[in-house]
Amino acid sequence: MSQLTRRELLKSAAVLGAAAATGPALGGTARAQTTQKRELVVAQGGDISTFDPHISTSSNDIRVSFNVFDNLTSRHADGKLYPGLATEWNLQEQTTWVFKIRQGVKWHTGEPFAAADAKWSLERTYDPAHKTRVNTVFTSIDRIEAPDPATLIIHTKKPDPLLPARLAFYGGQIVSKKYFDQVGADGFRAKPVGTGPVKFVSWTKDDRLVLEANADYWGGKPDFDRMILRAVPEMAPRVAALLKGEVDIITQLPPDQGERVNANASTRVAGALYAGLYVLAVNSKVKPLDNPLVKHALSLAIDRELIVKELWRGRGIVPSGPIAKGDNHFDASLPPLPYDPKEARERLKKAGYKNEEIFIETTSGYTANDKPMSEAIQAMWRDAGINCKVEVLEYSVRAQKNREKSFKGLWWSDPTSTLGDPDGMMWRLLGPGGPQDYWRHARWDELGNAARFSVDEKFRAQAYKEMTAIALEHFPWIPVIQPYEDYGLQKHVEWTPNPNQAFEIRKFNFRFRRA
Amino acid sequence: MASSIPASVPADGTAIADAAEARAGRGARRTRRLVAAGGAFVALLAVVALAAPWLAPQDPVRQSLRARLAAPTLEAVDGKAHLLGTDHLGRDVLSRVIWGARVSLLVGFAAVGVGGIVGAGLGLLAGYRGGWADTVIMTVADAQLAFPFVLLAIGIIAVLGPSFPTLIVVIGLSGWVAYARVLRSQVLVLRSREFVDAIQALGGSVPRIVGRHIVPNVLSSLVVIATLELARAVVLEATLSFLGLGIQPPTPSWGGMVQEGREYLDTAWWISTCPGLILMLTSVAVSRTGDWLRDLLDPTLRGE
Repeated sequence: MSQLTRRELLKSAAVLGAAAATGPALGGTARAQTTQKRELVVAQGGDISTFDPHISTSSNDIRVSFNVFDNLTSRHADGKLYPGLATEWNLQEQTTWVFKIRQGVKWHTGEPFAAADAKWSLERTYDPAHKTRVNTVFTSIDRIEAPDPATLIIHTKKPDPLLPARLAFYGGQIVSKKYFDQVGADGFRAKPVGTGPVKFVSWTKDDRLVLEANADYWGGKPDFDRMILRAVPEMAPRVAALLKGEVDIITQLPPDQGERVNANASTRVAGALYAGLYVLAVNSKVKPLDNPLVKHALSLAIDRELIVKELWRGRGIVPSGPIAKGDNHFDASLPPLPYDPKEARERLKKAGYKNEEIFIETTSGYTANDKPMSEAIQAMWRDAGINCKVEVLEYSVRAQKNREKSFKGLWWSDPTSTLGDPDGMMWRLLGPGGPQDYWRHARWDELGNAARFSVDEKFRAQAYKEMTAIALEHFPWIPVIQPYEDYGLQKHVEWTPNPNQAFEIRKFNFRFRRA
Repeated sequence: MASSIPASVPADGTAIADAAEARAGRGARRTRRLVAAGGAFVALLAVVALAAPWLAPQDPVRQSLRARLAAPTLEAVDGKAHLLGTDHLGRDVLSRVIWGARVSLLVGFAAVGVGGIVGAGLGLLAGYRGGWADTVIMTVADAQLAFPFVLLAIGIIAVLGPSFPTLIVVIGLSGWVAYARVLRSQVLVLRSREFVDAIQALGGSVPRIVGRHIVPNVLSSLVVIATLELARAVVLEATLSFLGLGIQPPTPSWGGMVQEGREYLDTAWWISTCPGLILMLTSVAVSRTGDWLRDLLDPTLRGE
């Protein structure tokens, strides 16, 4: 019996099972589809580390901070920018952006929100006294003015075409100056106050966070009274809680569990193509990885189709280069990265590869499928004559190596495209002095720098095209997959995941289906 | 024993004693059967470990992503039969369990060797020399006992990086205290015995006294501790591999397999369950064998 027929059998069994389970429920006006609930329960893979939105960029934290706080601009699931606390914005001169600030917005304390709060909040991100973790987001800003409560003027040092995009993501959450001054940094961290659709109620560490719907929200009260966010780090109990109906939404659903969630009568899978890539980042300073031909061979010897189809159950796409699909200047005409083990052997021969050890330093479960993919790639490389050694690192060791830039060869990275633009991904990480600066190329650097400060999108398109070509010649990253990020939902929940991990529960994106 | 018999028991105490003896006899027979089973299991495991290349139906690191997570079956999946199914990379679980035995026993025996040599040496030194050597060695031993060793092992391996020799040394050194403490107390007793005095009086050198007369007397204890330590070393290796700090992929190790299968416990139970069961059986069998050896070699220590 071949695997294919076994799969098909499983699938038809699942369909039968689903039919059997929904059968009796149909009499009760499709009970599984609707609910009377007023409480949204979400289980995520880790606890919150801080409520100060400028101190953390971790996905477990931003699911909360993007909802307790508002940004001036907002990026929706469709990838486009929409108004947030700013209702409109335009470029007055090359370096002057004018934002019209929404009127009548109140903080959770009842105090009115004004442009001066936004000014203070953005300045805070790069104020050394506040020691924020987002101090590199707004480096292009020269100074900010708030001439009246309804206007915010931002002057940039050089033209910054991506400023509105930057304001939509981390660092851009607007916090209240008055409240912060009142309660201080510790008080703020313990009980955050924003303008967002949910208000903080209570937090029990390693257990749950309770949030209350903001009835006065300018975008409309969300479709629930309370939202409970539970920390369930282990995957199995998280999935079990969903299947049992204890929670409405779970995050980080592994591809291998999708079949079960879809087969269950009352639950379904919802995914968004990740705004970013899973790549093997390369230390191009060590031998033999300083030789582009060796890196060609590494890339050519990875059967990405097989990895996507089997390890990810089809929940992903094969990348074509260092720019993620969905970003500005993604070149749709580029073919997916090819698999050609014969050519890989040729390039190794040409490179004079002498069976030197090539290391993959992987974590186990830090990014989805990291260890299984490492082992699968190790086997593929062995078949192509590459001597690869996989080492499993503790997460803290990986973090340290990342800080010290001391990886021995290749390691997994899941760069997020923070701006929907290559500037916020490859240039942010691989650029000179960036966190993954292990490779330099004069022309690439020149283009990246010029593109950052140009408001001419035609020029930028050309620059990123050339940068992509250079990156595919030198492979500072070996892109492996652009996966879907899957969530498990009860069918009575209508919600669309956002590609950039912001967990959007505002009225326009979340609804209970009620009976 | 006598004091535990209540006064109201009829004077016919002999019958009770007989019954107790008979019970004890049955118990002993059962114990012996258990021990035999344990010993047989260990022997079998050793054979399997040695013959792994011929016994394993497939290459334990050969992947077949198209046949991943296949349930245990006699039928061929992607061209191969998998008696215990396949793991998340399509590797044959049975073959990996068999090769895992080799890794487990190799690390176990090597670690016992390292721990035994270091521990026995320091124990002999502390016991025979006494004085400051004794104080220093026993203080270090107490300090190590007071520290949760798995935590220490994680620290050491995280710093040095995981490798086969590191693993053996770390696991070996985790057990030296047991040897050192037992040997020290035995040597303390032996040292003051007349035959040692006699050899000293006859001009026997220290190496000769220790090597020819003391070591043979403590050898039985050494063997017993080593067996008990073997079970511990096997479990510790699995623990560290489970945490990703032991045997590195793709080499199969039971602890690593349990870890890899953890995510699939409710969809593909065989990945974790098979190595987990074997690991449990091994550690029970080895420590039962150790208990039996202890009873055999040192009647004064008899447990029951």
